[in-house]
Amino acid sequence: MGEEDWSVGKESDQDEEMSRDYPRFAVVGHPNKGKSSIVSTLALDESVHISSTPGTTTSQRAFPLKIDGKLLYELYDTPGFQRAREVLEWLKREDIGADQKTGRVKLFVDTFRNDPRFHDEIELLSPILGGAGIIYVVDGSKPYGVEYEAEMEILRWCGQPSMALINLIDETDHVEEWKRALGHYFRLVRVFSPMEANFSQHRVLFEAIAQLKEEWTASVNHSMELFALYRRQNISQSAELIASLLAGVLSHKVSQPITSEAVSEQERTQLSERYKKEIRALEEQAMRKIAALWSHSEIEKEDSLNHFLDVDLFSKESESIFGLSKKELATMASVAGGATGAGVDLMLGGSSMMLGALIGGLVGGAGAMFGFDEAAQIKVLGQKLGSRRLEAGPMKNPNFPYILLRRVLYYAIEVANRPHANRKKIQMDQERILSCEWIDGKTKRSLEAFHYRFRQDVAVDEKQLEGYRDLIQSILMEHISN
Amino acid sequence: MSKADLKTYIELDELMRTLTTTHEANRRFGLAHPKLIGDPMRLLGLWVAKQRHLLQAPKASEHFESMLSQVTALLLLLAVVLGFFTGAGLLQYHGDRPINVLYFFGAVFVLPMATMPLPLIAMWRAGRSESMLVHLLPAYWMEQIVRFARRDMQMMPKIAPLVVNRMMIKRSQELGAAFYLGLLVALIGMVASRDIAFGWNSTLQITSEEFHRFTSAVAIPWKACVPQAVPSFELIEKSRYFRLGGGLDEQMIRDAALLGEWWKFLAMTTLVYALLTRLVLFVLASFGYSRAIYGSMLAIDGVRELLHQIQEPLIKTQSPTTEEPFVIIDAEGMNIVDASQLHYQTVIGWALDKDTVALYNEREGITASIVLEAGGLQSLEDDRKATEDVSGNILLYVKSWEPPTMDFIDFLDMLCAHTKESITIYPVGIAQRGYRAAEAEFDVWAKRIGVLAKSQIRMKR
Ligand SMILES: Nc1nc2c(ncn2[C@@H]2O[C@H](COP(=O)(O)OP(=O)(O)OP(=O)(O)O)[C@@H](O)[C@H]2O)c(=O)[nH]1
Ligand SMILES: [Mg+2]
Repeated sequence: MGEEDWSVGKESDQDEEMSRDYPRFAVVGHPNKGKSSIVSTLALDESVHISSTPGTTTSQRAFPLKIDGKLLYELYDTPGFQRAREVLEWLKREDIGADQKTGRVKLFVDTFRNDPRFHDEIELLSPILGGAGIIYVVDGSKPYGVEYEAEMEILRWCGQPSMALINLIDETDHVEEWKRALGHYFRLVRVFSPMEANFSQHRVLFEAIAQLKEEWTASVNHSMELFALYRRQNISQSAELIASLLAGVLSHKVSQPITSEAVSEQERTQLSERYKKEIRALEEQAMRKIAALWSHSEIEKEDSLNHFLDVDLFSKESESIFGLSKKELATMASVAGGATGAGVDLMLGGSSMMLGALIGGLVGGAGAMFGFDEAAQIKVLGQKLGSRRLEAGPMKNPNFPYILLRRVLYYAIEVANRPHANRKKIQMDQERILSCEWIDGKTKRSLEAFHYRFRQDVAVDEKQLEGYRDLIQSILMEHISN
Repeated sequence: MSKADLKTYIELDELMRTLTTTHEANRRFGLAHPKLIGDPMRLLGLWVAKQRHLLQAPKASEHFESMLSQVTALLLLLAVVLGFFTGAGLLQYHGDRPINVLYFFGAVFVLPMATMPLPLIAMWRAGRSESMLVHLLPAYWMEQIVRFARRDMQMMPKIAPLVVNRMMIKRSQELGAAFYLGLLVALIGMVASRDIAFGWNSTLQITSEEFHRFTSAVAIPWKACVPQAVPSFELIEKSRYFRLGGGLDEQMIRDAALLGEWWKFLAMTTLVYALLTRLVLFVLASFGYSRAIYGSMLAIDGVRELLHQIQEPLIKTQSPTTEEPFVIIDAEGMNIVDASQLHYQTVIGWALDKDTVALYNEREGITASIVLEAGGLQSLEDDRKATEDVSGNILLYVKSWEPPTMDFIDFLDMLCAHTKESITIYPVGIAQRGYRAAEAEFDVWAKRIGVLAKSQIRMKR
């Protein structure tokens, strides 16, 4: 893919210049200590292989940060040290001054370039010898061990700016002893957990990295601004996707022809199932797009319910948890109402919902299903014209948009805040989703006016969608660290 | 914001369905047009123009457009002709009585004024996909007729109803204007070719004063600049005739030149109340139309994303290369023993000092004749010496949380070269875990050692 086609005209000389200047960082360390996890999180790259098997990473891999094709820095993932003692002994074989140590490491790499015994060492040392700063990774949940000293000594021989990162893979805490030991080899020591790190921790880490070398500071700080920009871009695009989803789902209708005189129960069920399936598909599609936006295409999710509409839309509980109370509904009616007659409609929709709740309460589950048909507006069309159709939607239940909205907000926030080293499934736990307090009363009232419009058979115009998007965006801004 | 056009909309719709472009390519396009970054319509227009050659059926939109303009031209012509004949009809001169100006006036003042609310309301309600009002517009019906006559119109590309509604409203204003133009042409044509005497009469009891007041009010817009086109009281007085009283009287014939003056008033009324209002409505409708196209363009699936890609900096952090798939070598079944044996000839601590080894031994109740150190701070030479010191069966303590490195494997190889006795590797966990190796840690060791496939090596849990 024309990766390098950015430059207009010849800029090869400049590239040459650049290659000496831009900051590079090699993430190195013992095998299986989370090097790849850190790289994955810092480079927002879900493709990095992470596994509990040591030796997962077998060769160096570069992760450049580019804006419009312009390189700002490059991060390297590397294999872990395998024969550190042997390498160090080779390096020390000759008595040399500190000024020649880097040269000696270079000589090692050149001498053993084709020796499979030192493959991993060569892979990890080459970026450093190519000018990369060193980010040395250890696991602070495990005790310090003397076997690390050979590695750290080799890194010191490389003569590059360096820092140590203490990763906490487990709960146990040996950070203090690590800090004492690392302090002898590294000027900068920081704690960073790639699995939990949020954006502000990412930022703090970059502030430390920026100190590694004066020449790199500007570039690293600029990179951090770009990360922030990237997040804002994604937040606004996520808001767009969510707004279109809501507008699309709320106005969604399905219909099917009916043949016989009376509409059978089977036909009703069939249609409502289809309706549910289609809105589920719309939700799924939006979630996939959001995940892709945040470079989390591979992420999976696990739903606690078969279908999010299986929640009882009409129970008193759902009314208070995610929807509107009677009082709110009445206020809403007057807000959304005005000249359009929305008020009357909302009141009617609302009261039929109240009725549903009442019946649902009386006859339990069956009542809820009855309510669903009501709310999904399953009705027979074209009675007079001969070609009769059964139609479902748009969903008039005032709680419905909030269930969908909460779900997709939850998903977007989870995906956006998730470091790329974390490959666990997203738990779409209904209880948890519904208990998140994201939408305050005022926002809810503003949202409701839009939801009302989406449900009408009116093409939603750009201006309106923009207002809705802004609301969603402000919710996301508040909950996605940026 | 630039004007959006239908052709671009149709082509964009087609392109979004058929073409996949890379983020890089789209951003490069954006960078090539730095001045247009804030103008999404022009960007989309240019983008479509750039990709147009990739359209599978590039002619479809052009065909449609030319057809559309043909139909429009035809409809406009029809409207002009209709207007002309209507005008001619209204100005039919029988010779024996003057032409009643009220007929023509009705067509160029009352009609346009009375129909004005329709497009206005239609514009207001145009958001509804099934707008009843649109079906009342003349353009809708004329188009239905043309469409019936021309079969090829049927394969019209799918256009958002919002756009179609707006198109109908706009087109109706054009047609209205054309119709009134026809009327105006008829008026001027008649006046130029014949000597027409205008008069007025009404069954309603209107006095000349009242009528004068009314015409003066109507003429307010042009009173200042075209005073000749404001009927004077004298004109109104003199041109009044009574149907019952017979046709032209002597007096009127004498005033023929004066009565002819009416045409100026009629022409100005047509110009201002019929043509100008349609023009204003047309401008409004055009504005609504391009906004509808703009909105519908943005509503096309993927267009917003495309714009983001074009307008916003492309920030890439991921690796351009793919990682080689990681192969997990399946080891032979490892010989795993439980804490059966308590005495070993030799106990070695890998990267563990002698004190720690003693501690481990004590905890496990293990006794040993020889205790050795290897790895860690030892040199490779120290390790070699250690392998020479071993005798009998060996217990090798390792830290369960530190994965086996090649450094260790080398040592193990060396050890195996020195003794044929059994070597039991015992991964010990951290103190907080009661020195027990976690399941996963043990598995890592077992797998790695299993790969060596040496029968002399066993693992202790
Ligand atoms: N819970 C937790 N686990 C972590 C963390 N960082 C790494 N791990 C786990 O540690 C293991 C090793 O992680 P990797 O990132 O593959 O380590 P590595 O250093 O790249 O390993 P090699 O490439 O094999 O040298 C994986 O099972 C990770 O899931 C962390 O911050 N928290
Ligand atoms: Mg790795």
